[in-house]
Amino acid sequence: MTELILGLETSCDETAAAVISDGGAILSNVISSQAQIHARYGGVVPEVASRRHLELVEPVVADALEQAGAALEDVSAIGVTQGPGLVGALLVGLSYAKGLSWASGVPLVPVDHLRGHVASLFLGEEPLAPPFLCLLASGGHTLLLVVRDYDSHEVIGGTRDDAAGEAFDKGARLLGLGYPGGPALDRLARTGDATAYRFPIARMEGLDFSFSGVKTALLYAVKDLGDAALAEQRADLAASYERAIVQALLQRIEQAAESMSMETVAVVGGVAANSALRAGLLARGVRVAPLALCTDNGAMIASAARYAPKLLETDYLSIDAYSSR
Amino acid sequence: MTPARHLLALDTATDIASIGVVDAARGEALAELETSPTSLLASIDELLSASKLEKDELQGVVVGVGPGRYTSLRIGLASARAVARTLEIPIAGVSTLDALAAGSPEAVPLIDARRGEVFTRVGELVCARPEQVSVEGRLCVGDGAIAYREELEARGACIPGDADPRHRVRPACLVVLAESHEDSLPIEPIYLRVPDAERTRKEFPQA
Ligand SMILES: [Zn+2]
Repeated sequence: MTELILGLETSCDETAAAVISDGGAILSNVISSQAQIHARYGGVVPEVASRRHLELVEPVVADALEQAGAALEDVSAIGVTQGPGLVGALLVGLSYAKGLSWASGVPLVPVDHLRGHVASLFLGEEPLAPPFLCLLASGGHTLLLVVRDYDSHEVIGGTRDDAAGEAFDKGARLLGLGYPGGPALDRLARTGDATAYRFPIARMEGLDFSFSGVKTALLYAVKDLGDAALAEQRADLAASYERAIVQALLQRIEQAAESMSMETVAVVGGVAANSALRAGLLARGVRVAPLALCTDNGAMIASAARYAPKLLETDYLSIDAYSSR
Repeated sequence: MTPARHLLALDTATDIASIGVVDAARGEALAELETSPTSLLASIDELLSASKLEKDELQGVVVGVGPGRYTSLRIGLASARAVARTLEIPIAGVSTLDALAAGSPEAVPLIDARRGEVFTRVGELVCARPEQVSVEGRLCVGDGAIAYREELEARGACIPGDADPRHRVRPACLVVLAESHEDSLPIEPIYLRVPDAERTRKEFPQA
């Protein structure tokens, strides 16, 4: 009899729950995105996110169980994101998961969100096995990780300023594309000439990233053009800007793989949904998480829970959310 | 004698959460304690042991839905919903202000809303500055009364000492209210304020 794991994620603006089997098969993966709500504010508003999580957490968990054809008593562990993220948002998911766990006696597994992103690679038909080099690139994080085991990783590079996803969003904002800007910029860039502008690629020492320079370069390019010229150049600017970020990511991945002698490389996180990056990665034989698992989701949390210690009753009752490590 | 009906009652609207196991037939708590909202479930676990009941002997959950501290309220409501759903027992929502008032009839219930304001009832539920509430010659209870003690007393309010139990929600009051109401409140926090971002929002282009 296969055992089932329920995963629950509420660290930012997705309320998500999923059921996986202990073999890593995804039985359900329900994601209720709040992106449209936060678009009205031009970014994620913590209080708005927390309110929405409370409205959604119960139906989303119920949906995930129903779609998996499972009841809570069929589940052998409940994984839940403990941090990092928005504490008010995390506490909604954590409190709900604790309540489920306490009332049912099913063990709880607190999961680190970043570990969850890595664990999205352990799911599905062709799960990746450690060791591998992993780039985690999202709106909140840009990290190069050496993953030697299923339950741990080592950080070998990070960003000195913005996260890659943030750089895409800010670029989109400069180009008047609204929020969330990453996907809009991606769409526009496909129609532009990526060699029209030469935006700088920061050369940091070691394996760190920096995206503030390219953002500033775009700002000046936009200022130099008048409104009319900007309208004409917008696609070229988007394509050139995207290219600079994608090149920065690709170069670092290659450099890191070489210096750490890692043969297998994978990319996870929301930025992996960018089509230019995806194409570049696939051309280099880099493993990219399936689109549905790139952005925040419950399946990745359940997957991480599969390899983490279960906390039995009363041990888990005192765990608290954390905003950062 | 009516058989006992054991309900789990909790309120996390303020910094001191009240929880109890209450016999609804008698309107009396078998066990109750005060805790911080973040230790809610650990305390509920203790409470069950203290009341010598098993989880499956609980026949319902009553939860205070505020108004109060937003994050704490959400901890209480998320936990209460999960427990009720998993144990397959009914859940009822009760106004925290009503529960406070039920503990000391005649009193003006005030919950600290921070930012120089209180949540109270002036006909309807409001978020108001303390000077907007008429308190002269009246008993005021709740953490809002404690927070604005000086200015309320200067205006003729009568406020019990900080440690007085009347300032906190009694679990039995939550249950008595839930039992007396025909239709209970939705299991959603009473916010009374829109998020700051909504108030200051400018039209933003959407992708
Ligand atoms: Zn994430």
